[in-house]
Amino acid sequence: MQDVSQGQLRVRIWPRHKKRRRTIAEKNREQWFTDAQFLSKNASPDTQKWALTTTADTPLLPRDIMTMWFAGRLFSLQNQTGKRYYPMAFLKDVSESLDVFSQTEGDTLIRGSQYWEGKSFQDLVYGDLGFARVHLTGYFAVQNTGWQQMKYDTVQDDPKGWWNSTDRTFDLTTPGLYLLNARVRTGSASMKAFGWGSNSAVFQAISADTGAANIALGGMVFLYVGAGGLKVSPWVYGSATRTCSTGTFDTYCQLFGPVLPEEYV
Amino acid sequence: MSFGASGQIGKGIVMGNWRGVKYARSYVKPANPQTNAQQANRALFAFMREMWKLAPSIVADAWNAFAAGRPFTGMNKWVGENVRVIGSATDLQDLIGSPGARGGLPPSAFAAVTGGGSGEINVTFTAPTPPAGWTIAKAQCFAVHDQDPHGIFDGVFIANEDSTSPYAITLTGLGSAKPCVVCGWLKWTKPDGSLAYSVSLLDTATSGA
Repeated sequence: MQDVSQGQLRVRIWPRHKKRRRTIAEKNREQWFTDAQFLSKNASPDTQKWALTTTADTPLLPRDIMTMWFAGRLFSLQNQTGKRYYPMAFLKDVSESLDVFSQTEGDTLIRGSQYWEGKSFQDLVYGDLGFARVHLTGYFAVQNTGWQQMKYDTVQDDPKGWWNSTDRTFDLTTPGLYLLNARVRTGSASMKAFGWGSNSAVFQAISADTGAANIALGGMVFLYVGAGGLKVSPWVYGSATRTCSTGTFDTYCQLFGPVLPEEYV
Repeated sequence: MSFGASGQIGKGIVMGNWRGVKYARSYVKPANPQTNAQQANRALFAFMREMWKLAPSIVADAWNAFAAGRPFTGMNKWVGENVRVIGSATDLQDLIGSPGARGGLPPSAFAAVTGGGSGEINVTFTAPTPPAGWTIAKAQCFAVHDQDPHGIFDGVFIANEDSTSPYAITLTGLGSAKPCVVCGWLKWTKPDGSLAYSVSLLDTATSGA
């Protein structure tokens, strides 16, 4: 044959037309496409009518939209009630596009100053959300001396290292609002009141008043920690010397927070 | 520049024209393997071509409509589609009677039952709700004797149509008590006046004794 290559007329043998061997994936895709066209033609008349109506006045053909549907690439289907159904392929696409902002499981998307950002729950709450649980294991007796600090002695959970075993308090340094729940139990009456202490002084009662008696004491309180931090511990008011029951069921204290950042308190 | 040529130059180049498509290809010595599979395939092609020759215009029109404007004929499509679906079958119960053309909607239901008279089969169509502006021009169907497609086509090729709802057709002349395959489809008139054909649905029935 004769042809022109780079401006030069040349005579060469007729090129052998050797078709590239198709890959299995290519063959599968072609077969899928053939099957999809066959299926779209043989779909129920209602389905074909829907495709016809949907593509009316658009450049799409009914078979196009049905092929998109079979491939999971149709954006959505809307039923008579208006509810839309989205294919898994599109959910996957949208999910992967959101991975641009965060790929950490559990993150929440928030609008930052410039872009959307992925934030953990801890970051959203104030960046240092934690909890701790302590209870009484050893001997401790409430004295008949008015308000006194409960001396819990055993740490059950304390991932943030709040518990100070020396002065038996939670040393909280992140400002915000915390939730404290505690209970103290003795084997007999003469317990009067329960509260919590701030920096080595009783600050707020949780249970009944100091004038009440014969009550198992405990409760829950929101407590505020300011910028300077706070040493937090439960306090109890006794009217006689009473030994406290021990264990996680009877005499315990647990703390969670900050449940609200300082600026919202 | 364009030129036309047809024929063979030595054993090197073959040039020709097929339905307006000019081509030139290298010469290939024809292969003739004569295997059982090849013989069966030839028999199937012969069978389908024979059916096409006997097909009434009601049948051929649907296939020719599909091929209109494309570089193949209705017969090419008839043979190609049916060879694909009944290539290894020993009966005609997957036969495609109409390939569908220009988006015609198929019947909602189609049934063929033994007719009251000898050699008769009664066919009924349930029409779908048409799209806006579409109307059913005709319900069309045909019946042939069910048989192995790897041989000589045997029997008659009977077709008929009905343009009035409810669409019910009696096919006659099928012979007494013959197992038949019956294909039916709808011919539509679209809003622009053009015709469209649905794909065919198939049922089996025995002709009246």
